[in-house]
Amino acid sequence: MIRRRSAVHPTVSLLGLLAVASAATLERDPVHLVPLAVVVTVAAFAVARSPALVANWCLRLLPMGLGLGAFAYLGSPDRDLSLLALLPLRVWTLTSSALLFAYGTDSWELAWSLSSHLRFPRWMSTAIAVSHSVVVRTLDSLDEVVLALRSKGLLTHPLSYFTGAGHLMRGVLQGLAERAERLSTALEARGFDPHAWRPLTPLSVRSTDFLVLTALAAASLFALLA
Amino acid sequence: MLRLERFRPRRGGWLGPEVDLEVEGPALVSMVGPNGCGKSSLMLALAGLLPYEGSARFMGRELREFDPRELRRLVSYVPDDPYSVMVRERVIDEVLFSAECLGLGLEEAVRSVEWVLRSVGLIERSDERVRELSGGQVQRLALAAALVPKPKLLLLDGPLSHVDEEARREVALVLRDVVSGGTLVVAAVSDPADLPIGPDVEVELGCELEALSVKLQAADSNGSESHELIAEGVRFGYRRGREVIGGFSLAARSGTVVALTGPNGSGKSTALKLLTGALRPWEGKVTLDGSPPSPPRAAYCPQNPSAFLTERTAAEEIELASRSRTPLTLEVGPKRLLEAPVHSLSLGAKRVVAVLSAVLRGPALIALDEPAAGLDPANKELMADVIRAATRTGSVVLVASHDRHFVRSVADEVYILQGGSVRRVDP
Repeated sequence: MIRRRSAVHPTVSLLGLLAVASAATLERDPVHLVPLAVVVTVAAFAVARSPALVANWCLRLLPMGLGLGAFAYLGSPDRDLSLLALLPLRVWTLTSSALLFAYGTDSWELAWSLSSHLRFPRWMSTAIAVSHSVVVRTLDSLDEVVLALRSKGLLTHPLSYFTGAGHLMRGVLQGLAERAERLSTALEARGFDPHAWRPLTPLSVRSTDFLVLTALAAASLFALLA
Repeated sequence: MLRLERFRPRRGGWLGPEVDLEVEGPALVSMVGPNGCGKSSLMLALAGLLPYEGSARFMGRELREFDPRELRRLVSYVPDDPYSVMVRERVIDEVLFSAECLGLGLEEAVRSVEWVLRSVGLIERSDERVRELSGGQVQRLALAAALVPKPKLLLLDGPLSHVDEEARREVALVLRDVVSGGTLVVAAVSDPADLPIGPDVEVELGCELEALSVKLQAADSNGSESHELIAEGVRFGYRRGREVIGGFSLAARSGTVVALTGPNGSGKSTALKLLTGALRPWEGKVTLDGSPPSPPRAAYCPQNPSAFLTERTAAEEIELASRSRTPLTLEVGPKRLLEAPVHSLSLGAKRVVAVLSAVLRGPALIALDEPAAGLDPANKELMADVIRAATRTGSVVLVASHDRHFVRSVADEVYILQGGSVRRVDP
């Protein structure tokens, strides 16, 4: 029952995220980005609670990538067609790598990993863990806010996400602020001390961690060097 | 053991209810007060998390003189909205976190965690995710986490408001055991009926704040549309092979209130989401006036009212709802409460405003998830009036609640969900 909760070791997850984000941002050839997008998506599918969760978020943000691609194409002096594919691929890759990190990592194991392996100050690693936890909960509760706005007739079709964006943002941000405030009270009430806290669960390294790190690093290097 | 003299919690410039109390030894103390009177602030101040005026002596020492680390070992606090304070993803980790904060060794922590999870009836679910638990189970989990330090003072804010009646009796017995073990338990409740065992000491809290007042009238219902909700053989689960709802059928017409009741985790919220089209069934079909239900014709108001309130203040929330062609006329006050930030309202006020916001739009189907949880008797009566007004506009109203008294007071038809099956019973 007591075992590591992160599907991927937090340090591996963090290093993988940095490698993928760098490659996805620097690479300008969409063909070279395709293998990286595939590897990251497969890894995110494997670690998330359900592949549908990852697919759902990637598909939600894909229109933004397509829109950015269209603007970049129209704005480029030589009407570079590759931009139409590059920006959606970037958005897809960055989204799936962020989800790999969000859903594949346990917030408190991340805090311990940052402070004990990467020598982050305890206050900073705790702040990162709390933010990670609040962001993951907010991602999970977004559907509730969307359902509330649909029930109120404010989000009735895809375009109403633009007109109802203010309500959506307010609902999400209010929930985020309330959750963060209550979480800080709860931590204080439970006597959490970032300087003294130690996890009872062993943060061991598994062979799958090496596999994930190797796959992400290889795909990132291929994207940058090919 | 605990002596309060002119004790008042302070939150900025606001002062909470004044309490005088003297308890010599371990006991179960209930503090009863209406929604919004400051019970949560009182609990937070007793936990050393808010400043206070007057005096609070615990085990012979003034509370504010305790070292915070020492106080955390002696005093545990369970808030009224336990889901928002869950720190870890899995049930066992949530309880282990308390042991980690105390610096317990692995062996002692495991022993302690097993004992508390067994006590609150969650040992079978220890490896599950917290988000897969029902509201009542999360409340029991929060209690389990608070019991790990074996506190001398246990503060419970609305401790059993989401817990079903059977589990409520079990948890009440746990609280009795805790008291026998030498702990002073102080429970803040809105309705004395929320505590199924008689307290040793009962304190009635005075309320200086004006409560939310609502007058809701339905226009003539002769011209209103007629609606029909039909569900046939609905089956659903969140994971393959693990069915939550098995073969659910019901039919409801305009002007009726259908209640879904059953123990925590029986699938009441899931059933409401299926009936409003927020979830799609694995098998079977749901229709509202002949077509699949979907928002905004079918409105779902969740158990956590904060998730429904997307505007800055209650006044803005109600004003937005009133923009639709509402068949209801509403008088609501006081202005001070309506213009306060919505997150600063009491749980009871938030729940009433969220339900009003759903009802005012006059949807064909309104699904209310635990609308009476945590409400004081006056607000429960107000909630029942709001639900009755909604039926007069022609809406079909679905209510999921574990509160049998509330269900009896509003429902025309009652369905009991248990172990995946559903049966209709007399109200």
